[in-house]
Amino acid sequence: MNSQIYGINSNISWKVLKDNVVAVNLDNGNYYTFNFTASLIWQYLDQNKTIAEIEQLINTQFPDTETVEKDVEEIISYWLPEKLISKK
Amino acid sequence: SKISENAGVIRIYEKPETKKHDAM
Repeated sequence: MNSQIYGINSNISWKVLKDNVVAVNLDNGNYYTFNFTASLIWQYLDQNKTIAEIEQLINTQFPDTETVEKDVEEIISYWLPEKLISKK
Repeated sequence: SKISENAGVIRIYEKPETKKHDAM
């Protein structure tokens, strides 16, 4: 069980547009567009869910999807060096 | 499997992806 919680960094401004998140790094002007699944994960992070809880929620929404755990950890490991999120 | 229905919208699971756009 991964009980780690990640928070969205304070220099990131974001909004949900048509179910998809758009996030802007206010420090360097780079912006990011997320697909639906990534947007779900992002919003769960914003609700202070642990990684395990997020995986469970995604699995509930999309039953029998084998790759959820790996996919969530991959996207988290992409967001960390981009300084979109950090460990709490 | 791999399909979610919410408020009449059916979604198929897609791998989470983020596209980065560089600032001008």
